[in-house]
Amino acid sequence: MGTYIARRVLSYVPVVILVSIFTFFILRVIPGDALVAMMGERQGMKPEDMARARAELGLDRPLVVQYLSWMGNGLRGDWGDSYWLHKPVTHAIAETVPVTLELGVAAFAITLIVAVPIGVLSAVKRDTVADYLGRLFAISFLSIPSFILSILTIILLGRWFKWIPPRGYVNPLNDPLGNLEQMVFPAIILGLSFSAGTMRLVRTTMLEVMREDYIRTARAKGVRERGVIRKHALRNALIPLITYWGVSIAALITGSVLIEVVFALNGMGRLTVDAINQRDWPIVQTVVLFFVLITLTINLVVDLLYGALDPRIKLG
Amino acid sequence: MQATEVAVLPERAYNLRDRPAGQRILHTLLRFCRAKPLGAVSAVIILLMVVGAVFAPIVAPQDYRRVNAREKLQGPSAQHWLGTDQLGRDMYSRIVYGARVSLVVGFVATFLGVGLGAAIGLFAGYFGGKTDMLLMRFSDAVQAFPGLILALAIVAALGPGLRNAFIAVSITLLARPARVVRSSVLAAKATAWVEAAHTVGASHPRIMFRHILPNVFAPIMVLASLVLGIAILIEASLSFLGLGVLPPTPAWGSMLNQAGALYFETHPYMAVVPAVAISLAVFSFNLFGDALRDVLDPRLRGS
Repeated sequence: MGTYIARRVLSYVPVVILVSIFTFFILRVIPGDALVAMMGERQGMKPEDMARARAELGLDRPLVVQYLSWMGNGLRGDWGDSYWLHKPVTHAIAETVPVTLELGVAAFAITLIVAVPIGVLSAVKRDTVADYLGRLFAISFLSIPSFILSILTIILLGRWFKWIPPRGYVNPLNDPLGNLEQMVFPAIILGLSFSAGTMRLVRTTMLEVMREDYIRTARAKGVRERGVIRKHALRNALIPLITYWGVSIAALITGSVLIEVVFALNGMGRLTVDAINQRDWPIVQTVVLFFVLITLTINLVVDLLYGALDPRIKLG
Repeated sequence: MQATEVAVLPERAYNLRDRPAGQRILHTLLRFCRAKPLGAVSAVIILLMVVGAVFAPIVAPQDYRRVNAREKLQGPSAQHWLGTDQLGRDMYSRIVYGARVSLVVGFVATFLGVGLGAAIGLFAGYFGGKTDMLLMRFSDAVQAFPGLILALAIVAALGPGLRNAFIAVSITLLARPARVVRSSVLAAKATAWVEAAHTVGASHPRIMFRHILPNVFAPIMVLASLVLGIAILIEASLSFLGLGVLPPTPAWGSMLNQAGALYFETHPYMAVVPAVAISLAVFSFNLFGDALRDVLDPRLRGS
């Protein structure tokens, strides 16, 4: 088991390195460096001043050196300074992390509450009205992009209830109601979007599991149907589900980016988009790297969890 | 006795294999429609969209760029079937021409992405060893990026526009085909006839194209049809963020842009129309991909 963990962790290191190289260099593909981007503030700099500013910022060094310097400093916690926001990158990102985190966790909770029961119901009552409704629900939310749902929801809320989602994030510890007001709709929409795929997978795996011999044995033993579903079928169906969540966390992040933009939430996704529009490369490269790290970490946790839950892997 | 002429009825070949190709295709299509009616319906919708996009000048003769301040913000009418936007442009024309962008980016990016991914998977699976490890690490790195983030990073680097949208979306799509093709190739490599071909001394390209590729074809088709929906979605998202095609080319996503958002509350059709267009397109491609997968290879369920 220990070697399993070590192997999984080690296999991520080269990926992280590759990703950081890719992120850094792709932003420097086109000619014209960051200084030109900053020029928007100070028009008409003399060439000597430009050269001096470049040397100050370290932009005249070869790209490989700049990359190594970025990563080297980064590993010590210094990811550079943002040109646009005039503060360290880590500060800018740290402000946005709680928002995205809250959104993601809330959406995931909603998925658990909504998708798993509906998936189970759909599988158990296969080909009935309940099943068709469940599948319709899934395919609708799978196809209607979450940002479109968000826009339509805001329009609906504005027209019918004369209500606009408030702007500016409030800490849930300070002002729980205000926070709820802000987060409830984005979280619900993201959660329902995410639950579509989950529901389908729960349905599929439950259908497969219900055909297994041990289900027949449990029923023959006299276990009540509810117990059969909960103790025998669902437990085994959950394992592939965990793997699926690991893979689809990327979809959750993608969805949250757009929802943050639509609802004007000050999260990591919105920061990325704004930074791109502002050509602020220090923020863009660091935040993209962080997104990838989060994805990889969750994948790693899922892998380890899977190894812990499935006895065939634990002992094998 | 004299030989009499007997009228000979033209005989229809009994086996489908012996009938003309047109009949074979029609038969397969009808069987698909009967087995998967939803898939057939979505295929029809897709076909209508494609035809509408290709024949856009005929289907939507009004100029989508024509700004007419006097006619702005009108609801659907006889003259403007889907109304006008805040600059007085005809929404119907913009939707039809927007279909061009979405479908073109969808198909081209899918073709490039799945093609490139399949090539990577083919070489990785076939040659194995260091090639495999290198290519798979590269594919892992690409897959580590959440979809939209990668597309955003590429567009950030290269700038907005149609060509860069192709590049961004294709690269985002290439990781999964690489994995799927690689596992198909590994399975095919283990078969007896590939081993035989190798023993006889067939060259690598020959083995790859004649023996391995046919086995890989079905999963690729299924993957491509599923990926099309994702490609359209990513393009719509990029356009929505203002990082897709440049104006004045209309795109469904940019019609939902925040710039027009001021008017959405009072004129909801401005948002509903492109929203329905995007949802319908993604929905149809998803359904069609599902139906295709069920027909071609039910083992790919859950992929």
